[in-house]
Amino acid sequence: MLEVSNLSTYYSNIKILKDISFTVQRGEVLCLLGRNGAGKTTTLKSIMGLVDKVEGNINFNNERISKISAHLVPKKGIGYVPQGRRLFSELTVEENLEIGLLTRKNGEQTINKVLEMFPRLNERLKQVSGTLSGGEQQMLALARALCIEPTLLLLDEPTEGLQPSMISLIRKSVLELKKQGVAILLVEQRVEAILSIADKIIVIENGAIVFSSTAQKIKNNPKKLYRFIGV
Amino acid sequence: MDLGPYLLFASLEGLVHAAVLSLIALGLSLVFGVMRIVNVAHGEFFMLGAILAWWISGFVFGSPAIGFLLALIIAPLIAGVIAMSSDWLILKHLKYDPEATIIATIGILYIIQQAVLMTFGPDARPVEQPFNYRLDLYWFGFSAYKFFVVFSAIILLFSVWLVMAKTKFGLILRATQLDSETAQAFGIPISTVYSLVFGVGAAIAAVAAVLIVPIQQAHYLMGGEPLLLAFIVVIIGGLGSLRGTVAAAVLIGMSDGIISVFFSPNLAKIIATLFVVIVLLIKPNGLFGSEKT
Ligand SMILES: Nc1ncnc2c1ncn2[C@@H]1O[C@H](COP(=O)(O)OP(=O)(O)O)[C@@H](O)[C@H]1O
Ligand SMILES: [Mg+2]
Repeated sequence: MLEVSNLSTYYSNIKILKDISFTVQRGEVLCLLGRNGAGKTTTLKSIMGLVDKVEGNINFNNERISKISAHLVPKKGIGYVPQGRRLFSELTVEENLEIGLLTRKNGEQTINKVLEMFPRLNERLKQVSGTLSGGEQQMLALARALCIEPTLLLLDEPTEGLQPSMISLIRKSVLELKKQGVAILLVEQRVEAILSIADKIIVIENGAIVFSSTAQKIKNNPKKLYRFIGV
Repeated sequence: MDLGPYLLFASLEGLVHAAVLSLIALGLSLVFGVMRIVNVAHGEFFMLGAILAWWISGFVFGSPAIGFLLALIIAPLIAGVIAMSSDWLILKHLKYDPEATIIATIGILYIIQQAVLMTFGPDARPVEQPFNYRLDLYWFGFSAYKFFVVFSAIILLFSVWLVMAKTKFGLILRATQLDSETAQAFGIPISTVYSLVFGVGAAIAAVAAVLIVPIQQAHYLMGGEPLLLAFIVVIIGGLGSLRGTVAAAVLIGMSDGIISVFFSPNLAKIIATLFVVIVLLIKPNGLFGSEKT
């Protein structure tokens, strides 16, 4: 479904990502691990078309998306939950969701489904999103991305700075989406938060993939992964 | 005249100033708010509106009201299209870099100014008032057309507010203003949005010009002073804040009008500029600007 092959990304002529390749299939959770500054966010932004220059190929449903304008990417069915949430903080909860619905023709059904998933947001539709608690903001960021009805969801450190109860709620939502067949690309810093829900794991360091394996193999022999992430 | 009626007269003149100024500043503030660029050529779109109003009304015989109405529609359209083209041809390729766009819009300023000079010449051009009626205000008569200017400005300001606050297009503008990158990730074509905003900003300035030109005359150098005053308004009101812009325009326009009537127009400009310095020292984000930078 998503095929990234030999992706190199540049910010003002500095090569940040070096020859990255991976695939994500329907209903699969791929976890991207790596230290701060490794290039995880840049990988997601490259898929969304939000970087200066990319080389290599990004295909989604057999269509090349690495050369199209950024605003056309979500229309293909790719939902994005950016690092640090990036809500439109002065807009209300409802308005943030409306932005999420922009690519859709009949959003009525979608929004009902999404609000059913997050009843806490339903109670706060008129609240300015910047005044929500951290957990609620993350819910809204996820809900906004789900308004696209994505078949591929990109999540950038969705558990960053959240309480354990919120983390388990986010995890539950991810599992639910996986069950519905959504392909998920999940960026995390903490292994323990994701090992149980990942199908495949990739570690990047300095913009290059240094380790890649399936969750099954790692369960049997976790030492190899831990060497890379320094646990 | 006694002082009371004289003050009333000066206030009414100030109100007309304020109305026109709030439109000009609104365009500048809209462009800065959404695109984060300072449009130094803004005053030239105002000038273009005025010259075009004179040019268009020259084609129409019969009642001056018809020429005026035509100008009110066509001049902002042309100014808007020219602004959108300069966005496509120039600003877009600079990636809206804040410094580069200042230099580029200075260039656009001179291109428009010199093009108008070469096409229409250096003379001041009068435009006839669409209707000539004086309201008797007991102590003095006051042009009904000036009330019409104030009224039109209020209608336009209200419409812009309505679009920003209540429509999907307004929501898209506000989202782009808050976080253009994330806006793109949700399907907003920000380069189209930027182009439109730049065009609308220029068109609003041109509307202000068409409204004022029957009182003021059109001239190829008339863009400088409104640009300065609009900057003052936008700085005092807080960049990108619609409410602040209108409030500051009323403040500056009224005091400019009153001080000009009682003392001299130059003193009015000096005081307004001093006021900016004081505001920048006390509240760097403007009187109505948000606290964050
Ligand atoms: N807009 C940018 N311009 C220039 N360099 C950037 C930009 N964004 C990120 N980088 C650089 O790219 C590298 C990878 O960053 P990022 O992808 O954010 O890492 P991660 O998400 O893994 O913490 C870092 O060295 C960072 O400094
Ligand atoms: Mg990151």
